[in-house]
Amino acid sequence: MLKKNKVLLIGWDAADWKVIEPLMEKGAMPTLKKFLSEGVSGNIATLQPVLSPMLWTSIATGKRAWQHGIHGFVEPTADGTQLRPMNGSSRKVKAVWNILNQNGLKSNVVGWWPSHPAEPINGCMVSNFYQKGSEKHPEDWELEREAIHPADLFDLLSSLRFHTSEISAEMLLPFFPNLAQLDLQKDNVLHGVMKILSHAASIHNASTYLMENTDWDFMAIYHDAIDHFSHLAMKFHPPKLKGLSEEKFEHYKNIVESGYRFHDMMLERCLALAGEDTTVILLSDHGFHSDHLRPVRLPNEPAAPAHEHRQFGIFAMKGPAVKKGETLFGVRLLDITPTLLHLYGLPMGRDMEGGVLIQAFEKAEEVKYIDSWETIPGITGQHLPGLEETGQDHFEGLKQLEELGYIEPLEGDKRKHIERALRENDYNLALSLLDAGRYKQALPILERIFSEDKAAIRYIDRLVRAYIKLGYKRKAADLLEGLDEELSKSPRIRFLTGMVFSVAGNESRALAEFKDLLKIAPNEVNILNQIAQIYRSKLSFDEALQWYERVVEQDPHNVIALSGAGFCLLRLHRYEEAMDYLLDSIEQLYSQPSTHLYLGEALRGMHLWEQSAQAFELALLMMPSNAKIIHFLIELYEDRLDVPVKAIELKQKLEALQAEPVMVVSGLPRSGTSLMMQMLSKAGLEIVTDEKRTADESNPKGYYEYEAVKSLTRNKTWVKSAQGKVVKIVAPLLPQLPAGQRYKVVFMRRPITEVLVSQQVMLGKDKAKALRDFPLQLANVLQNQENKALHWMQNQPHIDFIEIEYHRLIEGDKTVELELTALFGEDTQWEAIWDAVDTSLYRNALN
Amino acid sequence: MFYLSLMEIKELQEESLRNLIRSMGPQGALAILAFGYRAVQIWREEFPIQLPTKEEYARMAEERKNAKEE
Repeated sequence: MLKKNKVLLIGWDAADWKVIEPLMEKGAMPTLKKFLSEGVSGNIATLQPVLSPMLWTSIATGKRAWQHGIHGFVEPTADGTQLRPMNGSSRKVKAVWNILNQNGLKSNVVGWWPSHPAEPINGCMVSNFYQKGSEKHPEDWELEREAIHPADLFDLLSSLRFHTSEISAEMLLPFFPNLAQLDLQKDNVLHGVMKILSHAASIHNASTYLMENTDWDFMAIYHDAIDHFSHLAMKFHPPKLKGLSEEKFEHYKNIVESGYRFHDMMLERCLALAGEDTTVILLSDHGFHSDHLRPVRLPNEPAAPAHEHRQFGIFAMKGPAVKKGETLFGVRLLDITPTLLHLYGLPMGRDMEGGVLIQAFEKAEEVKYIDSWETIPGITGQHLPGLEETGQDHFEGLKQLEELGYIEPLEGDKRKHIERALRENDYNLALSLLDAGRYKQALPILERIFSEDKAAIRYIDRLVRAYIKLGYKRKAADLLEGLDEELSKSPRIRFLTGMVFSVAGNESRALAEFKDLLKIAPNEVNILNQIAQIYRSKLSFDEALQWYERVVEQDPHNVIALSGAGFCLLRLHRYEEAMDYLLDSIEQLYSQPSTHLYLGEALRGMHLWEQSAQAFELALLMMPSNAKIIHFLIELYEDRLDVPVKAIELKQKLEALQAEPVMVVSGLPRSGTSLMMQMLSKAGLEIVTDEKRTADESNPKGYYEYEAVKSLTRNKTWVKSAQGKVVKIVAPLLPQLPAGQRYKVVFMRRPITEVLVSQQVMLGKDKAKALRDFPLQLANVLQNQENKALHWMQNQPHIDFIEIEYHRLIEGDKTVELELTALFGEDTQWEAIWDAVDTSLYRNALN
Repeated sequence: MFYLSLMEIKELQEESLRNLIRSMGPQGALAILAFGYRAVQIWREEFPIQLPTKEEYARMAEERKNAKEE
């Protein structure tokens, strides 16, 4: 019989190597130290925004927040009348336990954030509401039924919760060696620790019970205690911060250390219960500043405590198939779900941005892929759509978020709270899109929330940066010029002004602004990096290097400065020093394509041809269309490494890249593809059409189709002749397009219901009948076709695409022009597209 | 005693675990929490705690709130 393939995933929110390493050195975390020697470990790079419910959902799904739908800490209740902590049922995609469920595997999930109400999985789920409220009187400490699945475990698991009043002095002494000197009744730090400790004990009790008494294949445990201990007491952690009283330092300096040591002890028990044959992954979602980079004060804005979070968390894995004692580089939160699936021999979805951590395993087994798990049917243990809550009081969950400073105080106008929370969630969604490089999608969201709150500096900050990224320098400058005088004086706005000067080529004014700001904050690394960047763009590499080195002095892990210093040294022909900086930068953050390219150049300068080719290959993997890298590789393979076959392949790739792209209009039939074709034709683009399908009542202005497209599965030879022209291809046929050719795709979106009614009307049914006999099953099929096409395109490096909603064309939304410009370039009269729009033809809207 | 090693007790059987917890006394230790649900259950059985009344509890919470405001 095959041995059972068990995996234990333990999450320690905000755990950081910078705290752990000194503790391991002095023998205070022996279990973790042993764990590391038995497996692999390294930094894990977080995602933006660094907010835990979004991050832990990304860990469990392999998707970013804009895909998984968890956009913040709170959300309105279904009836819209009050706020509640973010529910797990708001997640729009499958978590790893749902995928395992549909593959016949049993999971236990404890405390995952967010996971309330508990999902009906094949196994047990203890939601993140389980431990909350432990400071109420025990008789009032009720547990919601929905916090536990299955229901028959409710009474037992409820009894395993650990109340704050059960915490004894002996348990507190490690945290407070001077406990006798504290006011036991009134000391709020003490009571904060008691609450956090009771929560951790409750989660650990439920976890140890389920590990010992149930049959499981996958076990996921989430602890928020390190994050909470750190927010409460990192300011008291050694070394003592300037301005902190000696008395407070002495009273509270052990809290963070003891919190970590307690986790080490819990880890020991979990490892003992899991057994040697279980693969164990321990990780955090982000780190926590514990040194001189601890913020002295937090800005007055929602989720301000997130400023204490650090970009890198911890990752460690051990198990029968895992290498021992090695360091892993470049681990990201999005790699966890693909790696978990791989451990069970299951394919990862191509719609997952991360990858399997194949370098962690002794034997590199082939990674299997499917397009997406979202479209694979099966019993997943997810909630059925339309799950409504039972009118419970959300006070406890909200109160804790308020106490942590993640949400605003809950007093005052309820309506305004809801509006602000929704705006904050939209802001978080925009940050997630920006982090994924989807600036165009983030822009309308940022513009809207800025129009609703023009004094929110963080909205201004992100909007200006998005404008800069998209090349809209004028818009960025106009926005900053339009701000009121008081706001313009704030350092953050002045910093943005410096950035806008810099990208507009006014380097002397930019430098003056940044150097002036340094008088207020002489060691601010973002300002120092900007100054370095300006000298670098002026090719003053010696000068730039000095500024980058100032950043590294402040923050030795600053990836921008490390990479920047490496680049400057490279241009100064100091190759070995350049290599050291570049490797340091990559060690911190692996996914930096340009830094891999510079490393390749530095190694080439050192005549290390093979290593140089490896670095260029990695860079090419991340930037597949970069001709410069291909040229370097061709030269290396032809002249230095004698691999002509590879050189020929790369020359063919280069040829294809240099050809003009084929422009494609796609979408479901009746989603507005013909209208978009007409619009592009009006703008002067050349259309590929044979006019075999003539205009009719359904499309009075013509279909703009090309007969050969229909047989794309059999014959692809015509595609090359469409370079530089526009062709219409329906969504399901997109994956048939030959690779080795670049494409720019406008993908039309229209509500499926409208598409279907329009199709039915086209087939001769009247609109009322089409609505009455609405074919729900067909709607699902169409939705799947659309999802599949979009998922496929997201993973094709040779395809750039934008999504445009049909109704925006009908409404004359001018931002469509901006999106077309960004995709196709500026050399077209985009304003002419509107000549094609005849609103009277928009007949099948449902309202 | 702050950090009693669990290596010493994790292999113990039910009765010896109970004896060890008894020897710790009503104040217990962090090691009990770190051992997990079974140690907590035994500790509760051996040393049931006297809970404050609701009134006492409310008064203490009020005092803490006032201290915070000060």
